[in-house]
Amino acid sequence: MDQRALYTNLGDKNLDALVSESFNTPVALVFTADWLGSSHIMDTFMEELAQDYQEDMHFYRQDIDDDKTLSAAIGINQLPTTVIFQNGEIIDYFAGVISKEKIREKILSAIS
Amino acid sequence: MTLPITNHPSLKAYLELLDMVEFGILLIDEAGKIKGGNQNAASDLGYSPEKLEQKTIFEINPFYSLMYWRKWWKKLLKANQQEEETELIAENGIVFPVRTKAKIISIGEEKICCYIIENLLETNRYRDLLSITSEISRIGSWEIDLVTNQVVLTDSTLKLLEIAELRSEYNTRELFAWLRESVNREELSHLLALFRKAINKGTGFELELTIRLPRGDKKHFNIVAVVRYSEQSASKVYGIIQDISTLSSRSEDMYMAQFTLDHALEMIFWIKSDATFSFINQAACKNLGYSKSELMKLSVFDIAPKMLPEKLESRWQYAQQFRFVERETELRTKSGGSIPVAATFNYIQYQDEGYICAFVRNIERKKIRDELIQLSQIMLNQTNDMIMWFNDQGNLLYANETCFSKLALNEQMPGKHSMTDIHPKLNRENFNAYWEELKTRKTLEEEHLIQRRDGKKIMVENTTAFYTFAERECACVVLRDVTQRKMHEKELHRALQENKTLSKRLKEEKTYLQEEVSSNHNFNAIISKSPRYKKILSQVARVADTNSTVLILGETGTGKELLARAIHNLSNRADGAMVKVNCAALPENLIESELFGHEKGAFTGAFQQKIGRFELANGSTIFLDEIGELPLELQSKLLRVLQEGEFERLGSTETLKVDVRVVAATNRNLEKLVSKGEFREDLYYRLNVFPIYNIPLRERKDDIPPLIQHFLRKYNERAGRKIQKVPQSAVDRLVKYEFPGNIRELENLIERAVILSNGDTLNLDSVFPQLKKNNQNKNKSFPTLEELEKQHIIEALERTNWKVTGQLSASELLGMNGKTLASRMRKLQIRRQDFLNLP
Repeated sequence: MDQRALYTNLGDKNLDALVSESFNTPVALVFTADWLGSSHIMDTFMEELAQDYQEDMHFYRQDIDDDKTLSAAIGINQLPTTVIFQNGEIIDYFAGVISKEKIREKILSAIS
Repeated sequence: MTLPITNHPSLKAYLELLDMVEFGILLIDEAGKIKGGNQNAASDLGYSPEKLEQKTIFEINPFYSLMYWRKWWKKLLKANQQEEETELIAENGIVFPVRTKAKIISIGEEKICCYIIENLLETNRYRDLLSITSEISRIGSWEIDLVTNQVVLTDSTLKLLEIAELRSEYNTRELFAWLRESVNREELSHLLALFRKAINKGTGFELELTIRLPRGDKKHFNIVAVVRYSEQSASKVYGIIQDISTLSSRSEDMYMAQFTLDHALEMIFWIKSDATFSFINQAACKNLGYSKSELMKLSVFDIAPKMLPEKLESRWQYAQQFRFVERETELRTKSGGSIPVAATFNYIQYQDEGYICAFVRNIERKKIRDELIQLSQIMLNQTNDMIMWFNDQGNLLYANETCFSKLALNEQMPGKHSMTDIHPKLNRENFNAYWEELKTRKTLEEEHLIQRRDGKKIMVENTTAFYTFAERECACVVLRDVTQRKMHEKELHRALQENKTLSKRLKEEKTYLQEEVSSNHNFNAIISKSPRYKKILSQVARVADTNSTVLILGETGTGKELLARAIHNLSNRADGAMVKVNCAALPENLIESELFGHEKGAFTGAFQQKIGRFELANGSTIFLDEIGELPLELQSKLLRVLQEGEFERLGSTETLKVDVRVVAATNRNLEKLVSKGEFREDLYYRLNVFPIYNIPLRERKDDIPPLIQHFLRKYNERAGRKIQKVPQSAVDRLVKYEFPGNIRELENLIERAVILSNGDTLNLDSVFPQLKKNNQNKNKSFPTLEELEKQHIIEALERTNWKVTGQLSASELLGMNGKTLASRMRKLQIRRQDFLNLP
């Protein structure tokens, strides 16, 4: 299975699209930057977690150097930052890299 | 037809015949009724023959009851004849002794007892004598039949009680009605109580009774009663009544004297010269627990343990001489206890005989009270507080010894002192106002200085309380010397302030160090575009949440500790602190105790127990930096911890078990060290479970521009600068530079450049000569990393005039720990003497 396919770049999706999507399935969006080493650690974790919870949650990443619109709209001032949407609302977010188990707890909390 | 016995012709014949007999004879039927009697019997008993025939045997013999009579009758039938000595009561109430003989005879069909009476008083002479005696002594007799409720009062009794209606027989109801009218309630209830008790117990009683007579006079009577028992129950009570009014009035004084003696609180003893007693009052019996008769049998020696027989004579003579002696002693009670007493001995000559009349008072309570007062006095004098009492004029009434020893008070004339002497704010003018305030507030507390006896001034806590004692207004002043306490308080306050300052400083330092750690080792701020470095980060991410031992390899300054912290913080042990040990920074002789701890006394200088780093890291991660420098002898111990999680503190045999994750790091080639025998092979393999090779900066040149930007931001902020621009030429030159000191070198370079730059452009010229020098070296023979490191350290040392540690030192310049630098210098054999320009 192509792992990347489960944790993909957000691409053209805007905030409205994400909000709509979250009504069906919770969405995790990681704001990253290519030059930020810790973002790469975060990518590694999210790739693995996306495998585990592919049925329950959609996983995206957004490099802020590609598009700052969304990060500005949400008010991201630290990288990496992960935001979790559900039913059209931001139900959780965390700044920085945290351990994979802590991220798993947050995912489980969102999907349970 | 049987004729009634009284009419029986035989009876009349008998009676006529009986008149001729010199004894009195009564004929009594089975029911106890007197059927007739001869003249002698009627005469002895004082009845007319007609009246006698109306009586029963029970009325003339106080000892007979109907029940008794019946039994007696049966007995008589069997025995035919019975004799006894008894007493009979004459009509006038006089009881007289008789000897009787009884025999059953038959008169017609009826059986009759022939009761022959021999009057032991013989003749009327005795009766008359008795009657006269009764009159002279003012004694009357009485009898109460408890079976028939009849009351018999003799003539003399009626006369004494001034009862007008002269009847010899009354009933108990009439008697009690009369008693209720004539005797006061208290005395009557006492009389009735004695009466009931006498009936129940079969004993007699005696009491004095005041009777209000019909003419209104009150007279004192002595009543004596005895109870007649028959068939195990009281049948009759009879006794005498004596008018003692005349006696009473004569002996009233004596009576009162006796009463006083008996009711006195003091014990009174009349002691004879042989130490026995001739008189003892009730108080003596009560205090000593003896009855009067018991005590009378004892002597002084039995009750006064301090009075010895050999001393009696001298004491007696002394009392005789001085007549009056006072002494405090003790008496022994019947139960063996001892009571303290105060005794007054009076020598009295009475009827040619000498007595000692002793008045003795029990002073047990007084003694206890005295002791308590003494104890209070001792306590008052022993206390460190100065206690004084003043009157409403402010004059000193009392001062404890502490006052005299501490204050400048005149012991000889304490009354001369005034409250104004001890209170600096008090004077004659304001004393009244102060006293009024004290009266209103009851207690005043303040602190002030007071002059000591030696002239020094001391700080006292003054508590003045207002009291009304024996209707006098007083003030109790308690002064407590608080000089020492004040000093301690001051000291404590100073220490507290110091503590606060230190605590604040510590807090600030902690915040600073936390910031330092987070800014220097914040893995969230790892800057890298390099795909190779990203691979390393990926390795960190994968290994973080396992428990595997990680070995981070790489040149110095590549950020090995940063990776170690990332591994720890992304693991399940992140809640604990990562414990770092720099194996190169610790002297060889201390590293074992540093890692594993030691017990008190384990070696010279081990003054107390020390917890080792492995124990500290229990449940967390230990980062063993510069693991290649770990002495060979400790490597086996480390291997055991890695394998078993067990070790012992130095000087202890107790095995400790810990759960520690190990992350080790080195810039040395461990394989090479293994081959040279400087590093244990088994340890190497145990550490090398998950190796991460941290690449040098020169192998991730893509990261140099973003790193320059990152460090520029960091040091701008720290130095308060606003440098925005970095000339591209400078960036290019840095990219070309090999950076033997890796990122640390780059960071130090940018920091120096920020400090040395003016304006908004980063000036790297000041740091370029060094770069040039390095780059020039490139054209020469290619130096090893170790040679470059040595050269770099020498350069730093020369710049800092060979100052290794502290401010403006080589270690600061190199951005490394002073001990690490010293260790590296030893390793690279950099010695100052080699660089001195000796003549």
